[in-house]
Amino acid sequence: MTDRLPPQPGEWIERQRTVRFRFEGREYTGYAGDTLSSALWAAGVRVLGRSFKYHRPRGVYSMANHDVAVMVEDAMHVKARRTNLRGDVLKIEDGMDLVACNTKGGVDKDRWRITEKFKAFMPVGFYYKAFYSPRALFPIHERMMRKIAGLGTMDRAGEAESTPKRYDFCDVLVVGAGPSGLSAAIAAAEAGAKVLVVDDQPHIGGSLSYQGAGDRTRQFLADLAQRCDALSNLEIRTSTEVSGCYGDLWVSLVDSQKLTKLRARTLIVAAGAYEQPAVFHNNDLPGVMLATAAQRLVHQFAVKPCRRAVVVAANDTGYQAALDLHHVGVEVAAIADMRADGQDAALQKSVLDAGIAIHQGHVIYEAHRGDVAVDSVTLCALGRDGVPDTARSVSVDCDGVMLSVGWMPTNGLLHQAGVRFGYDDGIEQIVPNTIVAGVFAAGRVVGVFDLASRMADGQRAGRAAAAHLGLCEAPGDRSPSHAGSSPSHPYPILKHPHKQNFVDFDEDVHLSDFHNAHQEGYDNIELLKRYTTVGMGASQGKLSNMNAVRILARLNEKTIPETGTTTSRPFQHPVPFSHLAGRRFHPMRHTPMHDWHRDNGGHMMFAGTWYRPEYYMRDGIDRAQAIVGEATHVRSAVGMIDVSTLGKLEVCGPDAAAFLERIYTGRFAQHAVGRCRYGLACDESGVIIEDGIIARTADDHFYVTATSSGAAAFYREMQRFAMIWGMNVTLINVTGHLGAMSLAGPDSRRVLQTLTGADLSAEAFEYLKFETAEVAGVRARLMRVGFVGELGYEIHVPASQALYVWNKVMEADATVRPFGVEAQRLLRLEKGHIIVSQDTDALTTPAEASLGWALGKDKPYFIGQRSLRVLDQHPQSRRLVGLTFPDVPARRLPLENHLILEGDEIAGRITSVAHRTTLDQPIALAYVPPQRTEPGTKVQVRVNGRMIEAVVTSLPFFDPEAERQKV
Amino acid sequence: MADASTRRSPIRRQVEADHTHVLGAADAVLVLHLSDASAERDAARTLGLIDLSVLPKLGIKGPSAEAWLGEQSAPVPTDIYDVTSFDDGSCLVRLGDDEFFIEQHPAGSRVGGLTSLLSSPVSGVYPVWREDATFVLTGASAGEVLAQTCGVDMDQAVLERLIMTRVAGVSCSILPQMLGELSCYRLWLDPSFAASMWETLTEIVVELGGCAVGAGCVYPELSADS
Amino acid sequence: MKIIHCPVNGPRPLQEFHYGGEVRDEPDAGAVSDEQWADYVFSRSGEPGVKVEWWYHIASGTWFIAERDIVSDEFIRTYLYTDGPSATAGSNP
Repeated sequence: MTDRLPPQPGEWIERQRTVRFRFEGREYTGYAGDTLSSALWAAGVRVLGRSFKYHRPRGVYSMANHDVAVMVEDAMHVKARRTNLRGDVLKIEDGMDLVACNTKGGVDKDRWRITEKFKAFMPVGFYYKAFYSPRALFPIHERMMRKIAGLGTMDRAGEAESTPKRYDFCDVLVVGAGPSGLSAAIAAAEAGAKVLVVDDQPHIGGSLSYQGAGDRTRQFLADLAQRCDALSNLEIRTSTEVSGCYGDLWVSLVDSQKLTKLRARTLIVAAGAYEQPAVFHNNDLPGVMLATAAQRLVHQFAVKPCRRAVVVAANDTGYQAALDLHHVGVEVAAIADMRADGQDAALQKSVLDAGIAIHQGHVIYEAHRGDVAVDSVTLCALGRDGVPDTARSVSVDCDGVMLSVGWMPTNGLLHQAGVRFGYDDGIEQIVPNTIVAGVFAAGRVVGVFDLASRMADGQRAGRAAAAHLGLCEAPGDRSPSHAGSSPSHPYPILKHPHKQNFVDFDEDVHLSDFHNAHQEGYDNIELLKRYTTVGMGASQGKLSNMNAVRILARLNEKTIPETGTTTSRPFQHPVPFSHLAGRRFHPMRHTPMHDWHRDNGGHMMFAGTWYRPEYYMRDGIDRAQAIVGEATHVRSAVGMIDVSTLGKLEVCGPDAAAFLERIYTGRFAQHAVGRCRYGLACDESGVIIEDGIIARTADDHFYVTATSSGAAAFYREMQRFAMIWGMNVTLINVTGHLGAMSLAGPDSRRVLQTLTGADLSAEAFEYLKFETAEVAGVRARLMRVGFVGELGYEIHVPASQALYVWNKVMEADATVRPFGVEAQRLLRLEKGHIIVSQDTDALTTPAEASLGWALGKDKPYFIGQRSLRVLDQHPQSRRLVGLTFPDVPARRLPLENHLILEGDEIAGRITSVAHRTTLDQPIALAYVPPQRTEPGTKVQVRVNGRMIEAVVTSLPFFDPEAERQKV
Repeated sequence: MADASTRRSPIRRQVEADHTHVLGAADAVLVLHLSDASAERDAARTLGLIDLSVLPKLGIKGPSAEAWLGEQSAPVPTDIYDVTSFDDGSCLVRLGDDEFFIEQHPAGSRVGGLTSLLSSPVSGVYPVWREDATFVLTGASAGEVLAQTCGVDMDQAVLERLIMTRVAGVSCSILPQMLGELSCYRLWLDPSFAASMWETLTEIVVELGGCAVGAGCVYPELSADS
Repeated sequence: MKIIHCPVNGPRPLQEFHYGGEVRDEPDAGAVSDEQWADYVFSRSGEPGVKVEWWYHIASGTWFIAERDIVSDEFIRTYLYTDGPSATAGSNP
C-alpha cells in the first residue's frame, strides 16, 4: 500500500476491514469500500487495462465510471464468471480473482499492443474498405478482428440468472445526491411530496465528497444529510443508476440486485457534469487523469495520485485541485493555465504561496512516456490564435498530469425526457433551452457552478416540482447565471504530427481521424459519429462527445449550435442482461385436463399460448405411428380429444341474430333453435379471418365457437362493431370458463349414451343438433359436429368440472382412447376441412377456399361483402385443392409451404400435408392456379431442389358423401 | 387428497393438503390448511397465498341485469368496480353498466339460488358460467408481491374497490380487502392462466419468505367445523 | 412507457392497451365506386397532426377513443365512443 494516505475526513474506505483479491494473477490488499481502481492505484499499479484498438496501456482516468479504461472480468476458472465489470464502480471483495478484458498474455505484456505499429494501415473507417477480397479470407479476418478488438469474453456454460423486477412510484425523482440534488429533494419533501433520490455512487454528497473538501463543505453535507433523515417522505438510494428515461417519466433504476421500473410524476435532474479531457499527444498515458479523478482518489479513497504532478487548468477548480494535491504531500511542479488571465486572485495567491509555479497562457503539448506511465510533459505557450508556440516550450518531469479544462453536463436523461438544448457562450456549455412540463434540472447540469448557487438552484427546482404537483406556490426565481470566468475551455484540443492525441479513449479515435473523416465528406455530426465511432464505446461518449462537437464545429467553420449534438438514448451506463431479463413472465394457458394429458403419455406442445397434447406416447411406437394409430382408432372405434382451447362466445339479445348476420357471411336469422351451423367471417377486405360452429340455444341466444388462436381478437372486434352499429346485443367471452371435449368415432354414441339421459338416437339427436343436457351428472352443452368426419359429439362443461367429465367418459368404456392435436389435424385433412391461418393466409377469400357456399345470398350487409363484390369482377388467381402423390417415394414427399412451380414461376404452395394417413396414401391441400383445378391435373412441386409430381384430387379424400358423420 | 367432488380448482395438483372442507352444495372441496393450522395463520399475517378457486361464481350480464338484481333484493353497487356483500357473505361486484359478478362465501348459497332463478330465460338478463381462479395474497408483505408483478400503484388503491389490470402478464382483477384482521388482495383471473400465475406468485412469495396457506386463515369459522 | 387515461379505468401504462387503428367512418357500400371503396379499405393518412384513434383496455374489455398528436406522441383526451368528445371524463391533465 505504497500510495495510501493517512485517514482523510469523510473517506469512503473502512480501514479496519482489509480485503484480499487477485488481479492479473497477483495478490493485492485493499480496504472495504475501495473500488478496484482505487485499491490498485493505492498499490502502485499503473497499467490497469489495454485499449480497444491499439492496446495502449491505460490507468485510471475519471475514477467515476465516466470512462472504461479499467474493464475487467473474473478469471476463467471462477464459477458464474462475470465480465465487462468497470473498475471505478466495482467494490473489491475477499477472494475476487480478476483479469483485464481483451489482452493477449495479460495487461502488462499484452501481445496485441503490436497493432499500434500498424496504425498507418488502420485509419478511421478502414474496416469499411478492407477485407473485401479475397472473399474466402473474410472468415479468417473476421475471427482475428473479433479477438483483437473486443471487450470481455462470455461464459457460455454459465447459468441463466434471474433477478426480480419491481415497479415503484414517487411524486418527485431526484437524480443525483449532491448539493443541488439534496437541496431539491428537501424542498420538495418539505412541501409534502413523496421524494426518491438516487445516486450511482455508494455515498451521498456528489462533488461535496471530493471537491473543495474542507470543514465548510463537510458541514454543508452533514446538514443536508440530517435534514434528509428528518423527512419520512424522502428516500435515498445510493449505488443506484438511472439507466434511462422513457415515456411519461417511466424511469429504469439499476442497482446491484435488480431493475426497478419507476413511474415518477416529476423529474429533477441534478446529476452534475462530466469533467472533460484535454486532447494532446499521449493524453491517455497512465498517470494522466482528470483533476476530479485525483480529488476522488485523495478524498474518497485516501490514495496519493502521484508523487509529482502537473495540473492543466482552464478554470479555478483546477487551482483548487492543485491545492488539494499539495496538502496531501504531492509535489505540484506546475500549473499550466490555458487562460491568458481571469483566474480568482485569492486562489492564485494560495497557489503561489504553496510554491507552485503558474505558467500563464500555457498548455500541455505532449506527454512523454517512461516505462509504462507518464514521466514528463512538454508545456507550450498558447499563441493569440490558440495555436501552441513550440518554440516557447518547457519540459517538466512528473508522474501525474491532472486535467481541469471543462465540463459536459449530464443531460442524457433530460434529452430523453424531451428537453432540447442550446449553447451558452459565457460558460462554453450546452444548456437546456426548452421547458418540458414536469421536468426540472438544477446545478452544474444547467451551468450553475458556485456551491451556494447550486444549493439555491436545487431548492428552486424542488419547489417548482412540488408546485407542478399542486403542493405549493411556484418559485419565481430562475437559475442564477454564472459569474466569473468560464468553467470550460472552448477548445482544449491540440493538433500533433504523431497522431497519438486521443479524443475518444474507448475506441482509440484520435484527432486526425476527424480530419480524415471530414475530408471524406462526413461533415454532419450524425455521420461523423458513425464513421469515426466516437461516442460509440462503452462510456457512450461521456468524455468524447463534447470535444467531437467542438472539433466538427471548427472543421465546418460553424458555431456549436449550428453543428448540433447527437441524440442521447438509454442506457446511461451498461446494464447487465440478468437485470434486463429479470423474472420472466411467459404465461401459458392450461386446459382443465392438462395434468391428465401429462400423466397419460401426452407429448405436450405449444399451440399459441396454450399447452396441448400433440400425440400420446406409447411404448414401442414412434410419433408418426402414434398419430396414425390414434386417427385409425377414431375411424374404427372411438377417440376423445380435449378441445378446451376453442374460443367460446355467447351472443345474446333481441338483435343477436341480426348482429351475427352482419359479422358472418352466412344467414342466421332463420337459423332454428337447437341447431348448429358453420360460420365464416371475413374482414372488410374480404379476407377470411375466422370460422367456427354457431349454435342457436334460444331465439335471442347463440353459442359461438371460434378458433383457438383468433378468439380473443374476434371477440374484441365483435365488441367494437356492436357498439358502432348500436345494436341491442350482449357479448360474453367464456373461452376459459368452459372445458370442451370431442368424442368421435362409430362407437361414440354408444359410449356417450351411458353417461347422459338425453336421447342420442339418430332420430332424436341428428347431425348438427344442439342440446343442453347432463353428462355424468354435470350440466353440459352437447353438439353433433363433423370436423373429423365421424359420428361425434362435442361436450362443453364448466371448466372446474371438465376433468371430472373427461374421466367419466374415459372410464365409461375401455375402447375410448385419447387422441391429440396431430391426429385431429390428420383426420380433418382427410375430409378436406380447412384450418383458418393454416390453409388460409392474409389474402385468402372464400372463393379461393371453395367456401362460396358459406356466403348467404341476398343479404343486405356482412363484413367484407362490398370487397367480395369487387373481387368477383376479377379473375381468380388461385384455388385450394386436394393433392395426392401416387408415384412419389416417402422420402421425397413435400412439407408445408413447398412451392408448386410452372417453369420458373411460382404457381402455388402446399398448405397442409400428411405423409401417413388412415387412407394408405399421402395427401395435401394446396393452392394451384384456377386453370389447374380439374381432378387428374398434374402439378410440379419443388422439394429440396428436386421436382416431384402431384395429382389434383377431388375433396374430400374420404367419405365423399359425408355419410359417416351423419349416421 | 381423495376427492369425489365434480368441481376442481385449476391448480388442484399444485396444492397437496391435509385438511379440507367439503362445500357440499357446491360439490367441491376447499383446502382449509396445507399442514399446520396455527403455523399457517402466523405465516398469513406476514405473507400468505391462498387458492379459493372452488368457490362458486356467477356472472350476470344484460341491459336488465341491474333491475333484476334489485328485484331480488341484492345490494346492487352504484358505481362500476364497487363491491358489496350479500347477507350470507357472498360478494357482488359491479363490472360495468350491465355486468355483475358474484362469488359465493364458502358457507353461503347465493350463487346456487340466483342460478336457479335464471334457469328459465329472463328477458335482458343473461347468466354467465364463471369459473375464474381466485387467489388471495395476505399479510403485511402482500403488496410487495404485487409491486413485482403489477404496474398499478397499490398504495393508491381503495378497499373494496376492484382494479382490472395485468399481473405477471395476465389480465387480472385485484380487490384490496380486509378479511378479519388480515390485509389482503383478492385476485380473479381466467382459469386457463391459473397454473402459470400460481407458479409465478409462489416463486415470489417464497423468495420473500412467505408460503402457500389454506383457506382456514381467512375463513376461521370453517376450521371449527372440520 | 406512456400513460393512457382510460375513461373507465383511469391512467394506466401503455402495455395494458391494444391499439385499434384510426377511427374511420365506413361509407355506404351502395353509394361509392369500387375505387372509393378500395381507398377506404386500404389507404391511410400519415399526415402529421392530431389523429382520432381506437384504443382497447385489455383487462376490462373497454373500447374508447383517444385523440393523439402523432408528432409529439401526446394524448390530448380520451372518451367513450358513446359519450363523444364533449365528455370531460378521461381527459389528460
